[in-house]
Amino acid sequence: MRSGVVALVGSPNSGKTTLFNWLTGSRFKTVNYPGATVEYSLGHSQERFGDPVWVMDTPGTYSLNPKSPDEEVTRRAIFEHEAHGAARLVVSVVDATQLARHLFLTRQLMESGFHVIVAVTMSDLLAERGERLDIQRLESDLGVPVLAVDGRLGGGVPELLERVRQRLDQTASQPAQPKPLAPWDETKIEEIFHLNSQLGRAVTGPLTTSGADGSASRSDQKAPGAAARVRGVTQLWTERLDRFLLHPVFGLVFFFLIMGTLFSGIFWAAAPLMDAVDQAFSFVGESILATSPESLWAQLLSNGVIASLAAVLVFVPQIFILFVGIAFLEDSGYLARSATLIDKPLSLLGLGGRSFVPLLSGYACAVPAMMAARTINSPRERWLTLFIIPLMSCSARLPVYALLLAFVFHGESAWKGGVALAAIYLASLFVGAIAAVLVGRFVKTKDRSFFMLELPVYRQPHFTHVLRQAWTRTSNYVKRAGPPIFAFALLIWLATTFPNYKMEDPTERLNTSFAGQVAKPIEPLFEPMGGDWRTGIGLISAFAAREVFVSSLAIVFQIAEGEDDATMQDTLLTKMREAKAPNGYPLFTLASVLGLIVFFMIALQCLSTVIVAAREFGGWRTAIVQLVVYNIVAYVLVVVLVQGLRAIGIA
Amino acid sequence: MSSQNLANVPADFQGPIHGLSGDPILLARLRELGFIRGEWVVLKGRVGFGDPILVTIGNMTVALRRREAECVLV
Repeated sequence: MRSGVVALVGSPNSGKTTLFNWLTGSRFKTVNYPGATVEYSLGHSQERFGDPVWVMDTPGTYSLNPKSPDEEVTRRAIFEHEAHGAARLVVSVVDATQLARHLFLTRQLMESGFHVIVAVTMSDLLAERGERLDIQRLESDLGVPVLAVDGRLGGGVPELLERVRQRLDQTASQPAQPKPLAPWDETKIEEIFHLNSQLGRAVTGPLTTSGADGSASRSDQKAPGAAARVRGVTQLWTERLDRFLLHPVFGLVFFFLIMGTLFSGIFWAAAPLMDAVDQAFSFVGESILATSPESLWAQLLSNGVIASLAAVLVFVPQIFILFVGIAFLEDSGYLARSATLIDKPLSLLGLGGRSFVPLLSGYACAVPAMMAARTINSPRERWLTLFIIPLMSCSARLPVYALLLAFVFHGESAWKGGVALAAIYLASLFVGAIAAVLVGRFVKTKDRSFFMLELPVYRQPHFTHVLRQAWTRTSNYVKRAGPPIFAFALLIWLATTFPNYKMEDPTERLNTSFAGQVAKPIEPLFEPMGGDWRTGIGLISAFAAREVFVSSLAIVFQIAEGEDDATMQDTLLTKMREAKAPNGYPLFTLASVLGLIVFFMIALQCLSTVIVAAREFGGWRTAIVQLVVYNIVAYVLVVVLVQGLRAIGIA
Repeated sequence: MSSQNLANVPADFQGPIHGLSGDPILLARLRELGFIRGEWVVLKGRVGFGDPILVTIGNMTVALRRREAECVLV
């Protein structure tokens, strides 16, 4: 295998990532993020294409003068990669129908001193218009090798690789020594653009072999210049679809329908799968315990390791479905349009259209949501989005709300709980909006936020590509979020089991555990919010994962294990009703339970989120501030709420 | 020649770009996207909330916030 990395560089929507997928098959080391190819991916080309080479995919960029974090990633990755140095060879990916714009980056790459090969994509769109590209002419004019590739079917990929290997060998003795470019001024940009337009016109000619495609249609000739003279079917369909999907009224209706479908999909479609994962792990855990109930190792394996693994993997089906939905929207071309449609209301909060998908993802889990926020090109909007993502009602809160609402609406018709749950979800949106506005006032960044989003043509998503994309991102989630979730779940288990792990009675064991020892002295902290040290243990264990609150309450209140979930909840509810606070009054009242609901809405209890936040904010400071602020605000609000309710006679 | 920009022209506007003016960073990005003097732009409309506006330039449709469209003189 040859040394050195071949970097794929191109504008957004140039078909770069599709080409990368063809080159590497499914085997690439994923250092990329959900939502788009932010940060780069590294892999080697498939063996069936001959001697493999290292290939790097970079985030789409319009120029080598970066204006957003992901463009900066591209610049750094090709000029000064920490492990590989400057790229040995750059494959500049250009869309055949956008030559005037896309060759701009090609020329910047050439002028920086890279060895460049041009890969032309989307020739099928050109063919639809009854046109073809004169590759030889383009090659002789640019002075670098040019090859056509078909991102849809993979045609031209082996030839491209052959050429890449050739160039690598030719340039082995004189590696590229690229120098970062000074930004081009207006005159230079215009000059290059006109040069590219002329070249584009010169190398694009009518299809001579089979004649123009019958479906191509001539549009009116009013528009002069390089504007589309002929539109292909794909473009015609795009215009037709956009008449509905971007319509002032129907556009919004479709938007809410599509996002509503995605949203309900991540709950209803995922629920049975999540249950299955949960049950499988419980089964394994119980089986292990059954073999030697007395052994500490069996307990460690079952209640510690297996249960912590379950805490990681139970969200995988939901996150996978979420990513399938996002990849589908992305591949079809709708994702950019959804960002456009929702930009205005979000921009009033200091966010932007690109914040929408990360925020929506936050309803599944804050961890992938924060990763998805990398696609927001305005630093300020990205910062704010990251800040309010933990307020979105993630699915780990659902079991907690289910229990607390069952307590509030005990014996009443089921729809009331449903309405209350919907209200909680809406309220979390509202709280997020308020937080965005409030926090936005404190963030003094130079506002260079811009939207400017290219709307690609609609294309039929490739099923395998969508699944592969979703799988890659899901496994990224497991790799990144898995270890911290697992570690914290295990840590909390240790803290709630030791030192008196030999005790027969699980309640006694928990009460005297390290967690109990921590919770008891700080009981006065929980009293104003209507709780006692037992609530405290629940809240502390919720830092492993919010839903653990339910199971630790079950242990605190001596619920026998092994019952089925429904009876377990009933028993737990009864015990909660009987529980007395230190002053002799009931521990769980309407006021204290409402307080808990509000606490779970606002408090940042998920330590995996904090770890990912530290990465995404680029430092621990902001992540810690976020953790402290949300927990203090939650605590103060709950105290005010509970004491206020009690003051007006609602216990 | 005129003080018209893409944000204040009538809904069915099409015509060449006369120039760009505004925040240099914004202008640099607009140019990279192909908003170059002399290029032909077609206004396609606005989305539901009135902003961003949709513009066709070359073979490409771009969504621009009003503030960005104001930089494009036509």
